[in-house]
Amino acid sequence: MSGLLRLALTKGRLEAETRALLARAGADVSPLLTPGRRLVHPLPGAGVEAVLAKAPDVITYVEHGVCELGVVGKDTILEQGRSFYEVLDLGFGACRFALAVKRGDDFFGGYGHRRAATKYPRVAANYFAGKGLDVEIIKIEGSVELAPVLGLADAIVDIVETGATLRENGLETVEDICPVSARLIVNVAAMKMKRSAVQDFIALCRKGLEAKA
Amino acid sequence: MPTDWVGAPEGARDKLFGACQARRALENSARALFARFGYAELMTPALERGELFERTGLPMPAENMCRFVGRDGRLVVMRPDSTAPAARVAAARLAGRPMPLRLYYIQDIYRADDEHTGRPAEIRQAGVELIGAPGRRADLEVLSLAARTLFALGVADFRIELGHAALFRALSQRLDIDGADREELRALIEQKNFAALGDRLSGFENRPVREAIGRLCMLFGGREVFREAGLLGVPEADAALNDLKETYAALENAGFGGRIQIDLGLVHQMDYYTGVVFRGYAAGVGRAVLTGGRYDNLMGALGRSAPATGFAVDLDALCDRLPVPEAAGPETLIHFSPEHLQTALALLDTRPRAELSPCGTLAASRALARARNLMRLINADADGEEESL
Repeated sequence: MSGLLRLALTKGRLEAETRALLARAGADVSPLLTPGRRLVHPLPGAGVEAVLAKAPDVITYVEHGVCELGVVGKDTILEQGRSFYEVLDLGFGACRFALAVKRGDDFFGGYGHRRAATKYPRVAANYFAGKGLDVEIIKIEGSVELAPVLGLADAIVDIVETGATLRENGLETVEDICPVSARLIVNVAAMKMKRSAVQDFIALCRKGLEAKA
Repeated sequence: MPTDWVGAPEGARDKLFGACQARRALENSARALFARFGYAELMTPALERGELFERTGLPMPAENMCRFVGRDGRLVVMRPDSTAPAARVAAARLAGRPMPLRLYYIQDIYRADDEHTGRPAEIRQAGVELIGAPGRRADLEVLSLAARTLFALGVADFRIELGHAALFRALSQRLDIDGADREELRALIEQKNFAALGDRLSGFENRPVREAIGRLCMLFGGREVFREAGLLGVPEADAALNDLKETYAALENAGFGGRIQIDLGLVHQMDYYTGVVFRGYAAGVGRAVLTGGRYDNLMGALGRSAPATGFAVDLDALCDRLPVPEAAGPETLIHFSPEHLQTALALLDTRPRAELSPCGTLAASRALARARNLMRLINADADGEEESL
């Protein structure tokens, strides 16, 4: 063990944004720019070593404590649940969950059986339950927009950033469900056992956020 | 041939040889310590009535409990914790015994989780319940015992964090808030989701209280927490804070200082706990290994009102962090004919790591001993003649 905290980063955009955030806070993030074949990237300037993972795995690693820290989207957190501390809204990766239908459809009207397709069944179920609506949920792994187009579902619950994909497929947003952005999460035991190191990293991220503002 | 029977159901595990020894050793350490503090052992059944946990408050979400319908049509659960069963025993079978009751148990609890989370479904716990003793002295007894337990179980590097259930309860009662909103606030505090908590609180009218909640729930650490918390202006909350401060001071004074921390945002199982609550963490384990606290309303729900406090420690989690010891195997094989059984048994009694040979001839016994890498062969038929291999 290197004595550094381990940080699980969601591969792709959140990783790039986290890198930029840490760089703004003055940390040397060059090892992440030339990852090569390494799986673990020491960032001593930030007091961490980073591993790259798919979003749901970030949560799994942090929950089990093999990574003390993680950066993951609120969308994944809402879908996966699990227990950890969600200490900082990092602001980037901003988008929203929304309910969308074929343009002109009246999803809430009528009393027929309704179906919604989604990659996020738990988010969708909570949303419909909160509205007191009885809606059947179908889990789709890929392009959810296809489901209403093919006639499999009456609506979709999905992440919407600009709405361009929806428009191109003849869909429109009926209602925004909640905003989504990247979060810094912390393993519950690490928060207590390695308190000062964890707080130093939170402070570093805050510094990066302020530098942006 | 299908081989889908080789594994236990998800979350359940076999333990073999050295792993059994390691866990028994932990159990025995806990047992000796609990007995020294005057606690008496209970074993309660793995199956309990669903009503028990509905009455006492669910220790985990209903969907995480292993439940089924019994032959009488009533709900049966695999016990999800041992506190309610211990309280049941204290309220019913021990109804005639004077308080306080000091009970301990070393047994499994069960939980059903989503698939493939890597969480155990069967968890060995050692725990104590001090029933019928109110106040700080009882809290201190149980907290010291919790710290001593972690020491006794070989955890050199641990932290116990203290919180107080009455803090959030008293403060949230001053907000104009319904059950669902209160739960939402509680969850945000539990997650230390400071940003969302701030947003959520800004909607409430009572400014001093909402600021107190926002401030409190961020505070965790050492003694400085009390200074930073200041005065809350809600009498029950200030009393709780003072209770915690005095408890912390007494523990510090008793030499537990470096191991004990404060977390004013400790708000788990709020409908269960009423006073000082705590959790223990061990280096190398990603989740709490010990949970406990004061639960003064639980006994009342079972018809024998009494203040109570206790804790349980997760023995499996502590066991997993230790290297598995190599179990010592047999060294000696005893060859015998049925008419020399008595001699064979006498030899077995005096040799610590010996076993009987099932073979019909001395040569076959010798071959077996060699194949198993044993050190010697003893022939009971020849009055215990020994042969080194």
